[in-house]
Amino acid sequence: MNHGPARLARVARSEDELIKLARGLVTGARALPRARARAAIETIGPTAMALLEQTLARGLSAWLLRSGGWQTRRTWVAADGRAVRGRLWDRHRELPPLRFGPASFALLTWLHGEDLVRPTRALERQPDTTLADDLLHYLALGQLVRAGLDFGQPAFTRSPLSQLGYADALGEVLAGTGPDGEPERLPPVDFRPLTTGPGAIIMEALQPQLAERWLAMERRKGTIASLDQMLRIGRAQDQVLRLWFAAIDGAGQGQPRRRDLAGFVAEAARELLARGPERLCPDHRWWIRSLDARAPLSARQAAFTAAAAFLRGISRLGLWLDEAGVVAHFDEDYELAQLWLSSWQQLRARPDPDPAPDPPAAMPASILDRANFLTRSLESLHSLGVAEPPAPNSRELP
Amino acid sequence: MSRAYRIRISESLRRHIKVDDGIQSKLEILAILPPEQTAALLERELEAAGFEKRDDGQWARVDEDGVEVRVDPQTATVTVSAQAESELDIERERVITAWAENDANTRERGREALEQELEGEADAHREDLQASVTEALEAKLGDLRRELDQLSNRVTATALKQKAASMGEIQEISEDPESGSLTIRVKI
Repeated sequence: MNHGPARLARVARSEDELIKLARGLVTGARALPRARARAAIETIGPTAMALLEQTLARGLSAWLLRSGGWQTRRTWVAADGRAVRGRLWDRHRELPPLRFGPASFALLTWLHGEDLVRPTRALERQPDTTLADDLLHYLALGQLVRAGLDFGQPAFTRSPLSQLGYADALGEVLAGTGPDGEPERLPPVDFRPLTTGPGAIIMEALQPQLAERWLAMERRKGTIASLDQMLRIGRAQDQVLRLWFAAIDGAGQGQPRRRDLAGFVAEAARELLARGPERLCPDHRWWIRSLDARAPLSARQAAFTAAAAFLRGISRLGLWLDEAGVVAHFDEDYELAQLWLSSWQQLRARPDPDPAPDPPAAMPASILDRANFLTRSLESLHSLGVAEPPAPNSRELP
Repeated sequence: MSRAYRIRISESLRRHIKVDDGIQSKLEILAILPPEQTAALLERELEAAGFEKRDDGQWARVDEDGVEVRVDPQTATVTVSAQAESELDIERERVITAWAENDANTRERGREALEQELEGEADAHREDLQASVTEALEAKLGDLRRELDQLSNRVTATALKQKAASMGEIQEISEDPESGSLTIRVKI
């Protein structure tokens, strides 16, 4: 018997670069090459391919657990037909296997061989893109956005997970005009695969990540000066939330509705609109404070309405809460309804009024009422006309 | 030795410029009565405020400053718009220098430059006109907001009184026009 050390696998230098790129993406390290590789990779050997698959599968599994799977949550487990509380691996007997296909290979070779500032070759969306491929695209997009590199590629704009996490960036990058003369819209995608089976498990793990992303999108709006930019972002947000809500609400076909997968909206809303010793819910001017105030009123109003896209999304959760509240205990959906009520009850909570509010408490008490109030304010005639200065402490958000 | 030639180019631009601006919003009227009753109350208030009913069922008023306010009583939607038109007629002449007789290329380049200059002037004129329309609309908004708020409050107050009357005998009504508060005491 040979008890000596195992032989190290040998790969070519370009293959090694590709594996390191993959490792960087899944570990969150700065992974993108600064310069285009000298030779584009078209194929790799079986040893490198096995190492690449292993790196991606282990790395992405670990990333999913680190980014949100470790959190104790209560979610609907379709296999058990009930709500279960625990960490991701407690709630599900088996975590979804991550299978990578040609789309991941195409993504990695594109990142490795292209000039990421001015790409010469488009990265197309592959028709056989798997869930794991899509997750890798989501991670790669995050790095491209943070590094300020080009990401206006069909592989990202048509990726469901990328749209859910980066609706703002993808909406902005579409600089064209549609046939109706309006700004080009994000291509509609099918979110249904993310609402059942392995897709839903991945979405459960991604909830904290997505909450952070949507919070960042809202915080960024106050820095935007261009009405057109705000319009594109708001329309993209509107579309993504509308299609996502429709997908989780209509899981249908014998599958339960997975409204709990909109939890990231509730979490971001809580961070943004709650008041307390360390937080201050902004007033409507916080969203539009940097916008160009010299443009025609029609353009301003369209941009203000677009700025309220996320706030409008929150009100959908309010409707669902209303519906859940009237589901009787003998109804089939009772346990699901109770899950939504218990998960989102904070949105309805009305904390004790501050005895000395500063600024005076014109803002409603609950998060849901605040979202509705702010939406109305942004869409109403009152937000137009001569610009009023923002409230003195409306910028003191975390 | 080459010789300089002077080429005289003239161009004119005539354009009818039309700009508009407008916004749309909803009146904040509480759903106290059925929609058709609320719409009837709103129509009454609109008539009192100088609005006229149009064929499409909307109520409209054109104010002295040219700002048009339209209200759809069924949906409580308000549309405020303004527009302006202007006839632009510009003529320009330019003398350019060429180094050959009948230099068609230089003449063409000069003509294109002059055309661009005229287009730039037309764009600037359009922008100025657009800014003046927006300014007029903006100046109007303050008064209009107050007027529409008061109109909505009156509709809501009337709706409340009718609702209270349908519930029992009204014993006391007190209104504060400053704050817009309304207290109704009803004996059921």
